[in-house]
Amino acid sequence: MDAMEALVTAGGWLAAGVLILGGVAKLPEPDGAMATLHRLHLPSGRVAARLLGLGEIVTGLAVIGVGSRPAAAVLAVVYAAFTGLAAWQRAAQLDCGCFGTSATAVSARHVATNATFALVGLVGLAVPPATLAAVAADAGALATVAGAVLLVTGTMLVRVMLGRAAETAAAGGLAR
Amino acid sequence: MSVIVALLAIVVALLAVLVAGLLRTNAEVLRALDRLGEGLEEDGPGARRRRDPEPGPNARTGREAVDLSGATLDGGAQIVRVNGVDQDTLLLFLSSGCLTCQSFWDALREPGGLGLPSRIRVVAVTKGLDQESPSALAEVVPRRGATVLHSSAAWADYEVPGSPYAVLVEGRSGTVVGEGTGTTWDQVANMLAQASGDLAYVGTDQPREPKAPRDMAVERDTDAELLAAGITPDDPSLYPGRADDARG
Repeated sequence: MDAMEALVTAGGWLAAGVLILGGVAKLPEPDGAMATLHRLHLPSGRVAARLLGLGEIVTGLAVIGVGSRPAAAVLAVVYAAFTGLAAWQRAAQLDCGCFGTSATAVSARHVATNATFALVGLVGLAVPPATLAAVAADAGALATVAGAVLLVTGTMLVRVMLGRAAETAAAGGLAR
Repeated sequence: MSVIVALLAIVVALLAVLVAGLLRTNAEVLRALDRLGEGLEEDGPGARRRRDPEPGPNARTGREAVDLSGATLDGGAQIVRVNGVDQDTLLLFLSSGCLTCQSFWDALREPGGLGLPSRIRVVAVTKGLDQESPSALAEVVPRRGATVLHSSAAWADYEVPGSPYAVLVEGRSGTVVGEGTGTTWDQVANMLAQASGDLAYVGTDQPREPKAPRDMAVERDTDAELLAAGITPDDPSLYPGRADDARG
C-alpha cells in the first residue's frame, strides 16, 4: 500500500467518522436537522430528521467497511452536497443543525472542511481507498484497535474545531 | 499499517491546528485585556496602565514636607512655605505638555477652582522653565486662585514619578498625608479624601453643576478685567447698594 492510498483511506475514514458522528447526534436531538430540512422544503418531521441521521450512520459505516471506488464516490457526492448546503446556510446566515443542536453557526472552516472531504472522495476515484478488512489484515489486531482509537480521536477533534469555529463565527470573530 | 500511520499523522496535524487556534484566541483575549488597561496579574505588564488612581512608586505618607522655591512665569523668584503653616497645601505637579494634565489645568482655571475650602491652598508645580514651554504654560496656567510655581527641584524633592501627581501636605505637622496620581481631578480628589479623611476634597454628595464653557469664559474674562483695573473681591465699588446703606 503506497502513501497516497494510505492517506486517502485515512482521510476517507475521517470523513466517514464525521458523517457517523453527525448521524448519531441527530438521533436524540433532531431539532436542528428538522429546521434545515424545512428550509429545503423537504419532509421535516422528527422521523424524517432521524432517518437522515440514520442514513448518515449507515453511509459512514459503509464507506469504512466497503472502501474502494464506490466508497470514494459516495463520499464525494455526499460531501459535495454538504459543501453547497453549508455555503448556502452561511450566506443566508442560517444555523447548521449538522450535529443535532439547533443553534450552530456555519463558519468558513466548516465549508472548507466539507470541501476537503469532498476532495478526498474525488481523489479516491483515482486512488481507491483500502477496505477495512484489508487494513486489518495488514496491520494486525493491536494496530487495528489503535487505528479505531485514532479515528474516534480525529473525528472528535474535527467536531471540536468546527464547534470552536462556529462559536467564533457567531461572535463575529475572524474565523467567520 | 500505513493507514494507521496516516491516521496518526492526520490526528497530530488536527491537534496542532487546534492548539494553534487556542493560542491565537488566548493572545487575542490578552490583547483585548491590555487594550482595556487590565492585566491577568496584579504585577503583570497590563497593570502598568491601570486607570484607577494610585500612589506613586516612591509615595511615603508621613514623610516630612519641604518648602518649595522656584520661578514664576514672568521670571521672578518665589518661595512657597508648606511646612509649619496654618493651612494645608495641595501640590499638583503638572506639565504643559501632558494631555492628562489638561483636565487639571481646566479645573484650576474654573472660576471656583477646584472647589476646595480656603484652608487648603492649591499650588500647581511645573518643572523649571528650562524644561517647560513658557508659551504653552501661559495658555494653561490659571490667572487667579491657585499659585503656580516652576521648580524642577520641587519635583526632585517630592520624588514625583510623572505628571499629573498630587501631594497633600498638612501645614501644622509639615508632613505628607496623601499622594498619588489619577487621570482626572475627581479621581485624585477621591484618593486624597480617603488618605486624609477629609470629605472637603470630594465636596457634597450632590454633583457639581457644570457651567457652560461660554459662561465660564465670560466670568473668567470679567474677573481678569476687574483685577486689571485694581478691583478685588469685596471692593466697595462692586456693592453700591451696600455703600448707600452705610451712609444712610
